[in-house]
Amino acid sequence: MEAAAPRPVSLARPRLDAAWAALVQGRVLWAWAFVAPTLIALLLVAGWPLLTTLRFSFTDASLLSLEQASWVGLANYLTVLRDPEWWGSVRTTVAFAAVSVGLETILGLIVALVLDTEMRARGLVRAAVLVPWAIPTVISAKIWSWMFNDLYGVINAMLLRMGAIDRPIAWLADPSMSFSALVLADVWKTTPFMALLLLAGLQLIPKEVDEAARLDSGSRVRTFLRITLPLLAPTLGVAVIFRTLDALRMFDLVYVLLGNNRSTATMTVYARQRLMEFQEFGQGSAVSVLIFVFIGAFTALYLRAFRPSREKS
Amino acid sequence: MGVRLTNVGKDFGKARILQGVSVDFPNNALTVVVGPSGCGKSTVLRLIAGLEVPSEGEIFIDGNPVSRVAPFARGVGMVFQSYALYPHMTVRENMLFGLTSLRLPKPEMEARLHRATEMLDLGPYLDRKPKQLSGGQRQRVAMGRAIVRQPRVFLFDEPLSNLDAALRGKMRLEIARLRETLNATMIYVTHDQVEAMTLAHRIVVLRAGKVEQIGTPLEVYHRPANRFVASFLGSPAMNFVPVLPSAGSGLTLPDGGQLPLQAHETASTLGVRPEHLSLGAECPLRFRGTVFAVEQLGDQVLVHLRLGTTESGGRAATITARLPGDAEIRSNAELVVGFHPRHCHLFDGQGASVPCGEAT
Amino acid sequence: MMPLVRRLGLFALTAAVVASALMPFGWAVVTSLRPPTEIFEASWIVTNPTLGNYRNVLGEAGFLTSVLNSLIVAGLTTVLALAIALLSGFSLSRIPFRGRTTLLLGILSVSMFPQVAILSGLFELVRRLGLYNDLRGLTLCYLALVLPFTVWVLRGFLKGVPREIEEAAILDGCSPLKILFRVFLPLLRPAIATTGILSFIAAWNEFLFALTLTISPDQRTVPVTISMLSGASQYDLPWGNVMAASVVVTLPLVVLVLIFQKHIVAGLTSGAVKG
Repeated sequence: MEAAAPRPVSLARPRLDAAWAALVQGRVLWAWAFVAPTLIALLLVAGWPLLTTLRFSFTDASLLSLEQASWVGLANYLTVLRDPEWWGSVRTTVAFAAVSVGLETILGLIVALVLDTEMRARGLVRAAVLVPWAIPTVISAKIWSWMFNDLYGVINAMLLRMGAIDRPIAWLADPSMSFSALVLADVWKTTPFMALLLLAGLQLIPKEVDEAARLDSGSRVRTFLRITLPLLAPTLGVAVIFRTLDALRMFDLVYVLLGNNRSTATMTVYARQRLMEFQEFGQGSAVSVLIFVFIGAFTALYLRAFRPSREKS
Repeated sequence: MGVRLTNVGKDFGKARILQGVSVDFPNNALTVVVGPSGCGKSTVLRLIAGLEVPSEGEIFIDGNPVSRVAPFARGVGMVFQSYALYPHMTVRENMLFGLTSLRLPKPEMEARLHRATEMLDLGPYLDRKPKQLSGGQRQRVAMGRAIVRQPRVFLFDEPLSNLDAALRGKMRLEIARLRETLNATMIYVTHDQVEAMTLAHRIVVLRAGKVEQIGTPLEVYHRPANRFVASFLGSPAMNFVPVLPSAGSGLTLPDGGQLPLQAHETASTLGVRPEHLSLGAECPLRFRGTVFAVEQLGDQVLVHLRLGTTESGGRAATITARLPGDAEIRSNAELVVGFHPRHCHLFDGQGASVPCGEAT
Repeated sequence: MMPLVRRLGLFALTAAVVASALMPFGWAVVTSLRPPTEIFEASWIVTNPTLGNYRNVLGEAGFLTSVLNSLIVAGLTTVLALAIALLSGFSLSRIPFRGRTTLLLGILSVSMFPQVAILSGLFELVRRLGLYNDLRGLTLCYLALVLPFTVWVLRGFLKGVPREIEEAAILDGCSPLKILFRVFLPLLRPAIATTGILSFIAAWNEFLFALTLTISPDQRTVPVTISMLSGASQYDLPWGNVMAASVVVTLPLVVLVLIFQKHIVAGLTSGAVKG
């Protein structure tokens, strides 16, 4: 067929459609090709280890002799579920998450409202607020350890000077105070992130809606409760779930601040203790799986809440 | 009574948005503030609403200075350009929100809600949320929200600019009707001169933060104070031709032709509106030119002429004439259009209007 | 302006927020400048400032080694993650294909894994690959941590590129690879900067894996080294040195954050809020 004469449009259409289909088909192949590295990497470094952990949980593997593990079925799980220390760590973790996230949300909201106000030094304030987030958790834990030092720490010094206490508090050693110390350090570190999320949510509210409310209502409290908060609710929900998941999985802060203390252990610390210190690899893996299931249930909740908006995009 | 601005200025950082603005907005009338984008008209509205604070000058509502008074306390109702309805509330709740802040007895609130709903035909939509309403319906809810509070001052911030042309025409009539029933000072901001001309009892023309002219629509249309106002109102825009006053009485056109017109010695521009040009040969004043474009609109035809005959060199002035639709005009034809001295406007080098009359 | 009372209140609140955000770091700096004898002074004024603590810390070979290690691991992780995530982000944002949503949710769910859950599995994997106590092994593991959110953030940014640009490129006959690297990449510099910074910070801060998957001092990263600064009891700790080390490690990060704060905020919030 000579290619000399140009094709009339009507004859060209079927060719174009077929070409477009081929293009689309080709792009789908490219799409999978592009996703492949991520997929492989994650399957290798996340998927495989997860399965391995699961496998170990059914064995009596020990750290020193991983290869000579033998099947013990659900024995590890039963041991763990019968261990009061395990349940203690669950209580600690959940209590920590609840209190910490609650405080962060309230404080984060306040900081977000401050950042949302027009003021000259807004950039500087925002930068200052980001500093706790930027500091590596381990380092902030060390700094807080220093501040919480019972004899020489600055916190006790300030409280004594103000007359709030008459004897230094053993923040980190005393089990009744260490929880508060932990929460304080964590809230300090994570409120910035919460504040940023909430700030973004506040900025989604159209400025004119806010102005209409200023004209309609003399009370700022009323405007906040009936207009701002309801419109902030979706962002608030997402932020709280995000942060709760993070709080339940926390490890670094508690490990460095409170040490490998058995009485103040969270679920993650309990797991690592079993794995590395007690060298009960099988048991440690079982604990890890339990934690995974626990968090997984939460995640499923989160993704389910997210699904409707996903379909739209 | 009403709203008054005395010498109001507003800066945003280094930018001077408004300067020396002094205007009276009378009660029981609708005053339109009109001007090109960026002239500061929305800022004027926001200053009156209390959403901004003036950098200088003072704002009075019913005789009371309000520059330091919070928006809610000023008793001002505003219809925003984007309507700004509370998205999570129903129409009813939207309208009641501002009302409940006034702490009125329940029967009174219900009565006001009912009246506004009737006035704006919102009955079927009371329990719907804004996202379930069309643009025109949302606009009416926005008005209803302002109306129920029975404010002393009503502000409209380009309320029709987000509607399509057909709807805009309908809503313009609605607002015109509303204008007669509302007992308040109404201030309406727009860049659309059709809205300005049809809705205003008085017009304030604003440019680059300064007041150019204040007057009734017809005053501003027929007796513009300067070239800017003359060119801003009227579509197609007024024709401007550079002229030179010649010795004796008369004006010299760029092509050398003479116009027997009494002109002030500083006149440098002649203005004539397209609709005042006709094919009549009996007009005392005439332009001669070559047609270079014809736009046939059915009811009218817009003829664009290049002044001066085809032989004269250099850049010639161009004018537009609006002629009856049945006029047969051919492109490249030589045409003479005439006009009367009473339709002339003269402007000096700075653009200010100067007197213009028939030469004796 | 706002009524005076409100302005004062806002100022006080803002001051309180800034002070509480900066105080711990400030206190660390103050402590780090104190000689050992005055370490336990509870005042903000340093009477005899000294750089001795810094000299100790920087002189210690172990510390500098761990800084180098951290740089290597974080840098390598970031570069790899960016490359891989860019490719996937492109597919996931611009090419509709069956299973895309599931894939996206799957990747996202990996970010929900408690680190502990894959710890034992990673331990075994790394040993099997002979990468135990090796920075390369650590880098590999960090991909699991970093890939989910880098894919997510880059996808968000890629979605924002107008469709018309891509269509023009297709009409010009570009393959998807070319479109990504020749057409999109220049447009994505801020996105890559943001994602890169977030990824670097995440890898730099990581603790649990570094603690568990390395054992010899010459393979340690900074967080591990700092956590191991200890004495017989909490009274034995060379606090001046510890604080100096903390400041040395933190200062560059703080500066980075201050410079790139707009990018960081955009990156952090784009994922969560836009969903």
